[in-house]
This record gives sequence, structure tokens and C-alpha cells, in this order.
Amino acid sequence: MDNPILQVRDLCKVYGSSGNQVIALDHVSLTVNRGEFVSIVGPSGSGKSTLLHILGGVDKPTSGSVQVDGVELSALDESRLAVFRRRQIGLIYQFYNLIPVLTVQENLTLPLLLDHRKAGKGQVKAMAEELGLSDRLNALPGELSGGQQQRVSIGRALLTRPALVLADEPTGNLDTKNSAAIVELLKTFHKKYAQTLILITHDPDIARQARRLVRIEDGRIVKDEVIRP
Amino acid sequence: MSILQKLTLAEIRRHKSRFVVTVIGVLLSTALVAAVLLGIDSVMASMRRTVVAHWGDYDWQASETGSTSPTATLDALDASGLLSQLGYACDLTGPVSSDYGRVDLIGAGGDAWELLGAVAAEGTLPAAEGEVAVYADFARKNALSPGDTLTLPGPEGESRSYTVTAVLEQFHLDNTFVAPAEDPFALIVTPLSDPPEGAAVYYWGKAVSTDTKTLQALLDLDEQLSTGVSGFSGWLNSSLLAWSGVQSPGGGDNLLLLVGTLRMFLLLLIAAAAVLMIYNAFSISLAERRRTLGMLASAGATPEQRSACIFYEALAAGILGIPLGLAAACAGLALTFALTAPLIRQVSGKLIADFSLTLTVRPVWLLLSAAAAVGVLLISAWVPALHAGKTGPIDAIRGAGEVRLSRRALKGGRLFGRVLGPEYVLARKNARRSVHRYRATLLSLTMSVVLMVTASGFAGYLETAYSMGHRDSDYNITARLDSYDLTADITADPGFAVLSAPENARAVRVRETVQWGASRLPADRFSEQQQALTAQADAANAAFGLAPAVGADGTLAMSPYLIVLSDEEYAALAGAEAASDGQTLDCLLINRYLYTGSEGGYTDVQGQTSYQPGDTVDWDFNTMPVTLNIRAVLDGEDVPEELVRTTSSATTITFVTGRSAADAVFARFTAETGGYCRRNFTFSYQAEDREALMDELEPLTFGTNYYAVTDQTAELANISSAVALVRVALYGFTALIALVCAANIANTVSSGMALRRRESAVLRSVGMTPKSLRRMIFWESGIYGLKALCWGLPVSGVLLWFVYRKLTNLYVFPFFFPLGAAVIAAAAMLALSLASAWPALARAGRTAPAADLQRED
Repeated sequence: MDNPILQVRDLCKVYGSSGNQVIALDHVSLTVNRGEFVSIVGPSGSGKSTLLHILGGVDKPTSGSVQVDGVELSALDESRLAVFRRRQIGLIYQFYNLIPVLTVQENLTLPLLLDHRKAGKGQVKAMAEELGLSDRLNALPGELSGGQQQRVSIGRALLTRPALVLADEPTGNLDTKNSAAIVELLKTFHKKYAQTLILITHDPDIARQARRLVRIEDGRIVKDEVIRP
Repeated sequence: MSILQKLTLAEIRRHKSRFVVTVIGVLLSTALVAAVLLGIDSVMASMRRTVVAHWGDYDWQASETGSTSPTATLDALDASGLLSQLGYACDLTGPVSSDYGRVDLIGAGGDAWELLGAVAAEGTLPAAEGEVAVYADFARKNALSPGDTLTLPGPEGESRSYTVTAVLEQFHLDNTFVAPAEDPFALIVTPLSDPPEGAAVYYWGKAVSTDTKTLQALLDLDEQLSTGVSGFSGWLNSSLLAWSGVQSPGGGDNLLLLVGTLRMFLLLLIAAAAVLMIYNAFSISLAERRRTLGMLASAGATPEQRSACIFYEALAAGILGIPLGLAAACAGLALTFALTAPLIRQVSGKLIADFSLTLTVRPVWLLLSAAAAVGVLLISAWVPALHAGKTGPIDAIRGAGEVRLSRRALKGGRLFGRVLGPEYVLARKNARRSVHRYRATLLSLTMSVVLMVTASGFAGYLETAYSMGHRDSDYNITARLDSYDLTADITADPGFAVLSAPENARAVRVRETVQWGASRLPADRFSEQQQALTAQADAANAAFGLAPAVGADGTLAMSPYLIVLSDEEYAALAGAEAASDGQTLDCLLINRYLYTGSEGGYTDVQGQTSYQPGDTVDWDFNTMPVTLNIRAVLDGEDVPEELVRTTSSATTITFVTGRSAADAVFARFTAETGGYCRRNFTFSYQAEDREALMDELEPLTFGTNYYAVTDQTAELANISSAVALVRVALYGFTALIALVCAANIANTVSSGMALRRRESAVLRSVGMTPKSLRRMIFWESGIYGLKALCWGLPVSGVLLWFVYRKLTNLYVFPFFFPLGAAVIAAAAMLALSLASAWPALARAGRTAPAADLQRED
């Protein structure tokens, strides 16, 4: 039964002014159901990251509509969009994007802190254990390896149990071993918490681990297929 | 242009606003250094001009009374080769009567005309025998002009004709040859080839050099001539030399030491503020360029080449900032001098006539200012440049060294964090992410707060101290008369009657004070505090071999200090008129005084004694025994302010009596001894027309007795002007330092935010609202301001306490913290925080975070 968490309709994103325009997204439409694991692939400059940023509400489309869990993102002002993001969307980046002055624990709980909520001790502990970071909670990001930093980034995206997790090439900056570990971690969380996960990747092996594969070229979805039952 | 220079220029273009702030910092610090150096030099040069205008331009002078061979002295001086110019003059006739009144013919030879500033208002200076120059007053009085002939008694008493060739506008011979006399005379000056034998000759000279060696040689020559030539005495013009910046050998003149210390203190202060600011700017520049430097390193740039990138930026900032700073200093000083000219005239008017402060711009000080600014730039750029040299490719990629949080910074602030939210926690950590930058910014801001509050407090203390010294503001003119001549009754002098009731005074108040001899009084009649102070004074006096006041027999040697009021004033205070039979004296005991010890500050001594009305004190009144009958005792707040004495002596007791009673004691003294007592009077006047009263009082003379008249109102006005000048200087300096610090915090916060655009974007992507982001930015700059206040206010308080303790050695007033200045400092810090956060606040939330998330650096 369809239970859409994300509905994208006729999404366009154009950069630059007339005469020097670049069409990053060209009438993209996409629906993702709750609990689905979707991989988005495509060559560099195809518009994958732009799409992800618009889905995450960190960028605005030129036209079109994005609804997350029934909420139209374009209808929200900056402040309400920010609150929506911290409660409903988890973002994971290739370059980890942790706050270097905050400890691992503070980075993990940042969306909660911004929401003036306190994470339960057990919740943080359990997350840290799952991430393999129990002994590094008081460390600064600069004191961690790339793989560890990415795990913190994943933890931060998942701790609030958001409706949608968006990962932008989360293994792009890691070696093979760490990449495999991170993908395994994402899959674990996806299964364990029935988390909706949209993953952008260049790596065909990682992409094939999703249930559904979307291919984008020149800002358009050229292929959208279910590759696993 | 090398590739590194091109790269540096490109980086500067990329971070224009940060570079502009750096240039402003260099400009301000150069301007401050130049303002201090040029300002002090301008004051010195202006004082020098004033001294030259009043006395002449010579480094050395001598007098020789009655030498049999003055030409031999001249030859010896010439032969020494120590003087580039030598002038001399002697009195040829002495004051004599002539058809033109009393005149004195002076012969001036050598370079005396030039050295003593002879200026002809009309005609040309005399050059040949038989020609004379006359002063303008004399010429006007006798209707003389160049070409006229004067017939004067000559040196031998014979009459001789002289041709007037010049009317003198000035010639400072009058300082040497005209002394205040009852019968004035006019100087007439004629050229002199050789001084006559036996005449008193005066010499003036300009040294070939003012180095220590030459000046010492001149002093040696003085000594040599004084042993060989009868009545020869020479000395250096140390005042003029000091204002020229030359220390006279062996001179105890502290002026240059004071000027040098002040200059060094100000320069160090400026250098500290400037280094903190510019170091921060380069450290930010280094952070901005870390990735580029890493790339350069990977492309094969040596550490020196990478360091050079920072030095090139320093060079660019210096090329722009230093010349602008020098120009700003000159313009600022010229403007300040012009605006404060009326104040300066008022302050200097009484002390130094015709003093005007004008800007003197000597290239040497401009060069020194520029050199100091270059030094500051190099010191500031040094450490960031070294770090630039050490930045390798991996460091750049990993961002190593970008965050150096101390453990305390990492864990601290939780309490405030709970109250003020995650924005505060983030701001606090961001502010401290580079501990060096944080400390440098904080230190420079703290310095601003300390300077501002201390300067305000100091000016306030000066004003209070002086107004306390002149608190008798009901009376606008005072006259002081102390009798030293004990062969006559000062009160019988006709002038005393004028002082007691001048025509131009609306009200007169007379105070007489008497303090002679001590009395041994039982120690247990004095409070413990008084006994402790006396013992303390004994300990200090022991070093000077003075006898202790605390006696082994349980007594204290205390000196009664008697204040004589009018009978009416006394009766109003004591409740009855004072009586005296010459042997006893009714009086009022003032049981309170303000003690100023040598340690600074003061002690308000109340309840000094346990004496009660009806008690008596035996007093050795100028060797004559007198018994003081205590009729009333005043203590604490009951003592009128003017009767609370401030004294550095811990061995006095204050008594007050009435005029008639005191006169009976003085009369008995005169009757018994046939002499008179030394008496000290202070007359205070209220006058509608102060000038008329001054004209009435100033000409009074009292022989060898001390007599002085002071226009308190004018003096207060002078001091207000002086305090205003001090305020202008202090606040001007503080404002400029604060500007340097403002540039620092603005640079730190806005550049920090620019460097952390990706972090801001991440924060927004994880749900931070624009409002929260702005709150974080505000906190980040606000933390600097709050911390600076937390450190600066207590430090200012401690500094002001020391200043206060020093000042209250001279003037007694209660300690106060300049709350107004503290509030202004707090408001300034808040304004500074807002202003410095403004660029970052304006940018915050204006763009979608996606663009910043995709940035490479």
C-alpha cells in the first residue's frame, strides 16, 4: 500500500540569469514511500545534490512542489522551515560537516539542543554504541578519523528519528573499508527503525543495495526502477 | 611581480573588508604613535620658542664680576673652540640721571645682539662706536627715532653724543641689567668691541654641539676659569637645553626623564594594542589562506616562500596604512591644537606669558613613527608568518590547528548555556576556538575599558582634588600673611587695616592659626586609633632622629593647633563668647581631623580624645605657659567642614577660640617678652569686582613678611581648563585606542563568521533558525564585550585605587569609582559588540545554506 513520505512535483531549479542559465533540475517528479531506501545515481553535475538540498529544505526550487510528510516546504517561512528540518529531516554529507568546536556528544544532539530539548542519556548512549563511538563522546571532531566523523554525522541525522534521511555521497570521502561500514550502518538503521533513506552515490555497488534506484541525467530522471523486492 | 605577490594581492582582493580593517588598524596605530611623538615634540618646541622669546637663544652663560682682564677671558673662551657664538655685555655707566630721565648705558659685543634676540622695530642695529639702540618704550616717551642724537653722561662722567640707529622691539639684556627697583631706569645699548677692565661682564654662548661631551667640556671650562679668573661663574642654560631635548650633564632636571617615561609608556601602550589587533588580522588571514598555503606547499613552495605571503600582505597594509596614519596624526594634532588653543591660553596664561602650542613636524619624528609602525607590523606578522611556513598540504586539508579549544573552554559555560541556550554555547566555543585570537581580542578590549574608566576616574579625581582644595567657594579672593619679622606688630601695619577691611570687598573673613610648642598629655585621654597613629609617626620620625611623641611616662607630646575665629563665629559654635585673662584661654576642642600618612590615602580620625567641656590643657604658647579651658567639644558630623583639618602630622589637637580672647594672650606675650609672636593670617573676601579688589590688595607690601594674594575664582577657572585639557588628551587617546580595539573585534567576529560559512550552513541545515543564528553571532561578539567588562572594571578599580591613594596624599576626598564612565564603558562595549557583529548579522540567513555547504573551503 502506498504511504508517501515525500512527494515531488514538477521540480525545476535554474541557476544564473538569462543568457547564462544552467538548468540543474528540469521538471523532476518523484514519490518516495515511508520506510523506503532509494539510491539516486547520475554523473557529476547531473543535479543529484541540488535535488537532495531542495528535498532537505536547504535550497529553494525555482518552481515546483516538495511535500515531506504532507507538508509543503515552499509554504514554510525560514524559521518554520528550520524547525521542520531539525524535527523531520536528517542530512548526511560527504564532508561530514560537523561543528568543530562541539564535542561528539554535542554534535550528535545538536538538532535536539537547537529545539531546546534534552536527549535522554540512554538514547545518546545507545546511539553512540551503535555508532561505535562510546569512548569518543567528549572528543572534538578534529580528533576523529574520517570514518568516525561520518558516523557522528549519521548519528546526528538519525537521533531525532526524522521522517526522511538524506545522504549526499556519504562514502565519497572514505576508503573502501570505511565506506562499507558506513553503508552497513545506514542499512542497519534503515531496517531497525524503518527509516526512509535517500542516498546519493557514485558507487554502483552501494547504489544496488537500495530497494529502488533513480538515475538522473541533465537534471531529469531518466530511470526509476525497483531493484529489490 | 612574483607569483606569490600576485597570489597575495588576489587574496587581499578576495577578502577586501578584512584587509581594509587591517589597514585601518595600521593607520590608527601609526597615527597614535605619530601623535604621541609629534605631540610631545610640539609641546617641547613650543616651550623652547617661549623660553627663547623671553630669554634669548643660548646654551651657556657666565658672569664675571670685576675682572682685570676680561679680554683674556674672551680669548680663553674663543680658544676653547666649544662655542660657535659668543656674546658679552657690560654695564658702562650704571643707572645715571640724564635729560631723558634715569638711563643706563650698556655695551653689547660679539654675538650678544643675536643670542639675546635683538630685534629692531625701526632702523638698523648699531654697529659702530657712538651709535646706540633704545627700547621702544623709551623712544616713545622721549619721541626718539633713528637718526636722532642723544646726549648722555659717558662712562667717565663726561657728556657724550650718541646717534640713535635703532628702536628696539626686544633685546633680552633687560633680564640681566634691569632689576625691580623703586627708581626705574631705561637701558640704552651701544656696540662694544672689548669690555673695559674691572667691569662686571656677562657672557652668553651657543655650544658648537649639544652632545654630552661638549657640554661637559663647557662645564669643565667654567670650573677652570672660575679658579683662574676672579669672580667668574658659568653655567648651562639647562632649561632651554631641556626643552630642546638635551640633558645637561650633572643636571638634576627631571623634565627629560618625565617626558621620556611618558613617551615610552604611551608608545608601549599603543604598540600593545596595535600588535594585538594586527596580529589577529594576520592570524585570520592565515586561517583564510590555509588551503591555498597547503596547495602551495604541495606544489613545492618552501616554508620561507609561504611565510613571505603573510609578509607581503603586511607590506601592502603598511604601504597604505603608514602614510595615511602619519597624515592623520598631523591633521588631528593641528585640529586639536587649534580647538584647544583658548583652553591652553587660559591654563598657561599666568605661568608662561605668550605661550601658544603649535604643531611642529620634524622629519625625524615622522621617520621614527613610521619605523615604530613597521616594527609593530613585523612583530604582528611574525608568528602568523611562521605558522604559514609550517602549514603543509595535509594540515590544510584536515584543517589542523583551526580549532584549539582548551579543556576549560570545552567544558565550561554549562550553567550559562542552560539559561541562554545552545546559541550561547556555540558562540562561547566559537569565540574561544582559537585561544590566541580570543585572548588577543579580549586583551585589547579590556585595555580599552581600563583606559576609558581609569582616564575618566583620574580626570574626576583631579577635579575633585582641586575643588576640595578650593572648597571655600563662597569667597573668591584670598590673601595670606605670615609674619616673620618679630620686631614689629604685624597687626599695626597700615596694610593690615586694608587687608582687614578693603574697600572693594563685600564680605571679609579672617582666620588666624597658631601652632607653637607641644604639651605632654596623658596618653589615656586619646583614642586607641590616635595612639596607634602617633606610634606609627614615631617609627617614621625615628629615621630622621626626631624625638618620639610617645613618652615612657604614659604621655603623648601633642601640639595644640589653634584656629582663631571672630568672636561672633566662635560664640555661634561654642554657645558662649571666649574669655581670656592672658593666662587662660577659653576654647572649643575639635575632636576630629583627616590624617594623611606617608603611605597615601587618608584616615578620618574621629573621637580623637576623651576630653570633655570643663577639662583643661596646659600649653607651652611660644615658651609662655597658657592654660586652655575646654568649653565645648565638637566631633564627627558636628564639625563644620572648614574646621576639619587635613594634616600629615599625627601629633596635633585642634582648638578654636575667639579673636578677643586670643588677642589677650598675644598682648600678654608682648608685655612679658617685649617681642611679637609669629602670626599666620588668611583673609577671605567676597567681591563684586574681583579685578578692583586685586588691584587694591596686590600692591600692599609687608617688608620681609610673607604676603600673597590669590584670585580663587580665576584659579578655579584655570584648573577647570587644565582638567578639560587633560580630559581632551586622555579621552582622545583612549578613543583612538578603543577604535583600534573596535577594528580588532570587528575583524575577528566578521572574518570568523566568513571563515565559518560552511559551519553556519550546517547549523541551518540541522534546523537552526535565522533568529537563532543571529543570536549566536550576537553572543559571539557580546562575549568579548562582557568579558572585557568583567576584567576591565575590576582592573580599573585597582588602578584607580592606587591613583587615588597617591592623590589623597595631597588632597583629601573620599574614594569614588567613576560609575558614569563604567556605564559608558558598558554601553560602548554593547555598541561595539553590535557594531562589530553587524556585517555578520546582516549576512546571516540571507542566502540558502546549500551554496555554502558546497563550498570547498
